[in-house]
Amino acid sequence: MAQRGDKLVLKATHTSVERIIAGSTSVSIDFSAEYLETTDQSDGLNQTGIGGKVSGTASGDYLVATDSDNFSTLFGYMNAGTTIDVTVYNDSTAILEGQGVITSLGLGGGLSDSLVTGSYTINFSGNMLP
Amino acid sequence: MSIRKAVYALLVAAETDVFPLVAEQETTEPYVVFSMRRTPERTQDGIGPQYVDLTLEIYANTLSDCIALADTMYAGIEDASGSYDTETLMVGNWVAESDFYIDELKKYGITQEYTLTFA
Repeated sequence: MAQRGDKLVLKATHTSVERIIAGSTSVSIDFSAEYLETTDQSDGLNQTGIGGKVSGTASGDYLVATDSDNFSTLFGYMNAGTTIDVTVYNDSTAILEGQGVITSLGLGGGLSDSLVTGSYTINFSGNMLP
Repeated sequence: MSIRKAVYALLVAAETDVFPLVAEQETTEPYVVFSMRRTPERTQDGIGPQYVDLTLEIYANTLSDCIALADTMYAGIEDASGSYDTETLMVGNWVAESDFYIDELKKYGITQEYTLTFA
């Protein structure tokens, strides 16, 4: 039981236009939760704790279009501090839905035998509902 | 498959005597025989740019003719870009060149390798 890599797709939406990050070559979703320690004297040498704030990011890479349209769109959202709607799909089924803000963008070039690539990071804001 | 036509269009624009894989026995020298290997750059939207590893074998009866044709092919391919048979060539990059001699045929040869990137 496994899944093809291209089935995990991130769609970033603003206003009524659903927009896939065009030319995507990789996508990564990461979550982390704070660990709030509740150990007291009665626990002796055993640590205890509860879960705290959950935060997450989506990041990935893409091929920059000839007209840079895919980069320009993302930069426009980032530069304006726009909150965007984010949906993560696995095989066309939404598995995570919420909002986020673009917190980093990168552009990379090189020699004539390489392609211009872009990277992005979106920090999730609020609850990401399955 | 039109990438193959685009490669041929690129080559024939530099030299008319170019042949895929094999040249006819009565072909007048100097001439070029070429072969290619095509690989894709995949994206989540499907196949994106394509790379063509192009190998040219240039044959001539004299070394000077062979070098002259090699220079012609280099001038036509290195840093080339544009539309060829409906395909968009982003860039042609020279990769390597080597020499050889076929004693039985008394022919000089130069092998050139290029990478072509199609959008």
